[in-house]
Amino acid sequence: MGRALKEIVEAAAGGDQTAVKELIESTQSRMFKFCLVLCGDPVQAEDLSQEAYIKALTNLKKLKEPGAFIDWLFRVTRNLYIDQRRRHREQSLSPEETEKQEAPAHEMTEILAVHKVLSQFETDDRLLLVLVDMESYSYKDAGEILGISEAAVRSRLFRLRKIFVEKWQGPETK
Amino acid sequence: MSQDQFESKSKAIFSGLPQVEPSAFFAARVAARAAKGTSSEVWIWRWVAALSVAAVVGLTSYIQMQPKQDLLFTYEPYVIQVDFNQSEILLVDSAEIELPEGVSFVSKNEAVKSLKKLRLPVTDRSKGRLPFVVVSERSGDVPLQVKMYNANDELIQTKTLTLHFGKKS
Repeated sequence: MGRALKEIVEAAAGGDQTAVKELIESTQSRMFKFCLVLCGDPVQAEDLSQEAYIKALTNLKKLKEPGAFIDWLFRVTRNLYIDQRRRHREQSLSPEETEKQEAPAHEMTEILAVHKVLSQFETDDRLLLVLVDMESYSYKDAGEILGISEAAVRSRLFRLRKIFVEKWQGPETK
Repeated sequence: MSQDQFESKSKAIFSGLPQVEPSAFFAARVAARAAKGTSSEVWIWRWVAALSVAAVVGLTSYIQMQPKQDLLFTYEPYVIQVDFNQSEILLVDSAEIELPEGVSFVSKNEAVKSLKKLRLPVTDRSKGRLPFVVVSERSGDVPLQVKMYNANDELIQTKTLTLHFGKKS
């Protein structure tokens, strides 16, 4: 049976390279999906995941609560993602160019469809929806990751969910 | 729709998404980069030629036996990856890798194994990386020279990648 995440994080922080790999393997699926929904491109999603892991792993000793590794990783990812978007804003593809990109693997088509709707939201709004409705974070914890109050999370989510669902369903179902 | 219905619908959309995985050996690759202190231009990970049981066993033993100081072992094949920066991605058409004595390319093609210089085309710019496989008989620091050429065959950049090999105890 595998070790508990807290135990793996502690071993990894102590320099155990096997634990570092185990830590990545035990969280990579969730992390990659999180990044893929945000980026909408498997290569970019993998690059973002990789950079976030490296940043988190090289600072692992600073993590006070080993059990909160994933929350910390998402927080690092959020910061990197915002930086990345700022840097690449001028290079981003137009919707027409995005359509011309290589067809994604079958299992990714639904994720990319969600990304397409999410890409119409502001960065922190899309992060909020993904954290709460995909990653099942509480309003309080999501607020801590994004640096906003629980009350702000609640009111923003009310508005965001309505827009998200309506855009997902398309104009014909409104 | 009510607030609760929008919440349920939004959660249902996300919960219907399938599980996805990053590319093969993602964890090993990231762990190696993190161990090296990160922003290196070279990403190194264990080369597994085929997904055979033997290779998987080999990889497992490698991870268990990996010493703290030497990331690479002599007499074992490794994928070395040259990363191009943004300006290089736009310009580089091919790259010539020059190996020092004691280091060889790993290939199914016997002729390639004896070469000390190998010119490789950059076929997938979107990845911004050029991988090749080497094996070293030498321990210690091993410099590999990479010359980048544009489409007009003009030399535009030369880089030296220094790898550190150690003997497996």
